[in-house]
Amino acid sequence: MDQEKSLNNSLSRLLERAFLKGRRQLYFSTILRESNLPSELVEGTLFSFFQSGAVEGSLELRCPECGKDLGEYKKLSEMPQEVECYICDAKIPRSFDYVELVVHLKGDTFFREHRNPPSDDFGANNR
Amino acid sequence: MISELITDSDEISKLIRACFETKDSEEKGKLLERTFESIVHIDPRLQIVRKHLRTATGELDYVVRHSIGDAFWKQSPYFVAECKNWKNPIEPEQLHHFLTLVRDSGPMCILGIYVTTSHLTPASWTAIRDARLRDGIITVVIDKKTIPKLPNGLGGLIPRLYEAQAFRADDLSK
Repeated sequence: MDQEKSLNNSLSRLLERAFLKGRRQLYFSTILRESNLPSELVEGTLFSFFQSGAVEGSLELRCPECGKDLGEYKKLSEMPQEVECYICDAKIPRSFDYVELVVHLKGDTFFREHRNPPSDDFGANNR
Repeated sequence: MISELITDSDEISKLIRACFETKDSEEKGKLLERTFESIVHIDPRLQIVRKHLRTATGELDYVVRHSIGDAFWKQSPYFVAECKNWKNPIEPEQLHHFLTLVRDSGPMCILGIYVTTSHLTPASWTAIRDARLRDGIITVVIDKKTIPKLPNGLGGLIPRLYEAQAFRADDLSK
């Protein structure tokens, strides 16, 4: 339970900092890199953020051949069965293998309000 | 909390029998959770990433990540699961909470697995169908009749149940 609180605080702080710097969306891979936490721990915590409505998620499709951004979808089922890249003509099937999770930050209030007291908070400065 | 997980399917069958035989509700709940966790544990393609996750709308028993490669499973790299040891049939009002949790789980999760020692009312099956059509979420129910099949593992069981249950809900709604 303490670990859950610490994780929650740590990720809240990271997302709040990003928001205050004017970033409105973060790739899941960026969150992993910046938090320096194991993937499964970040995933579990993001689930609670999705549930609370603090963040929203979408899926960004990238061409595996040329790396072109081919649009965003709320759910995989919204994607066509196959997308053709307009740059390199690669045919990309509908699959989680070719999308990246994008986390959209909706505001910093949630993160501040839901943070636990500093004693649980990796010793970081409290705002 | 949950005692040691079991890795042998015969032992899991015994656990299931004990779960149905006990009259103690708390014990039944613990045995049901232990059964589910053991089933996840024996499949290396499944990993529980969060247990008893507190959310704005309540608690979610399990968030599970998988790496199962068939078409059904690839629709949702994660699934959420709830274990309910209630005696009475599950009404739509009771199921609604779970359906909301699945719906709000983000774009990487559209699959919910509802494990119950009871069964669903026809109206609940309709609620599952409506959620599938309206929100695009897939809910698979493992009830008192299908819990004994759990030792075979979730990989094959869940797609088969989904196929059967989706048609059943469609029939009920006619």
